[in-house]
Amino acid sequence: MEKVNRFKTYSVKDGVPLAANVYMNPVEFGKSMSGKAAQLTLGNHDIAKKLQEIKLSPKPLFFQYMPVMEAILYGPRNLMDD
Amino acid sequence: MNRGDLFKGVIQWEMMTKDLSLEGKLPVFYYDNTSMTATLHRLHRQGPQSFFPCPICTPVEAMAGRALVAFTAFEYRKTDIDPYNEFSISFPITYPEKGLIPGITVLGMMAKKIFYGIRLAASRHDRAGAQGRRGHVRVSQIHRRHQLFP
Repeated sequence: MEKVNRFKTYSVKDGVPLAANVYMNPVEFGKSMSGKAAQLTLGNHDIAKKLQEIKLSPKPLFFQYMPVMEAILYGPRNLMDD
Repeated sequence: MNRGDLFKGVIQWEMMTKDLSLEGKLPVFYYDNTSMTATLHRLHRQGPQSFFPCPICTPVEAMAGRALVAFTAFEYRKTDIDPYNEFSISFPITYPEKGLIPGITVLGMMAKKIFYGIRLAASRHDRAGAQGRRGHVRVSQIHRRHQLFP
């Protein structure tokens, strides 16, 4: 069974570096290393065009699926206070 | 951990924007969500540095010349800030002082269960945007908690 994960995130807002924690509980979890597990289709958005330039692999190395998960997003704080 | 246990004992505070247009709670609870992540590799290590806010951030390589990138789709069906969806592109990274050995570095991260990454995310929800999370860039450090076994 997968355990609770903590994501420590860093952002910048109005020039201020912020830190925030996200706790995520994967209630249901599955993973696969099959190349057929997922497929990525790129469109014509600017970001998609950037991704086409970096020549992504046609198949995934790893796929993870959480049909049910819950999370807590804590409010951000100044990185100085981290 | 059973469903609902994550929120037990966590106190929330009511929050409201200055213009009183939006209200919510902190911390924000996400009660019912789905996510899927596909990790691919890129054939060239150089390329997406323009996405990176930090010039010394170095992409982690699974094999020589092949760095990793993860695509994640989130569906937040029930939250304290109403339902919305999110899509992110994440690049596992390391820093020059930590060293970079293709394959070894990423195995070390997996063994320690600590990953660093640059995450570009876009959410489709006005409330999420009002909280400053639409089209944002995040550097994330990921830990695993409650490790009961290696």
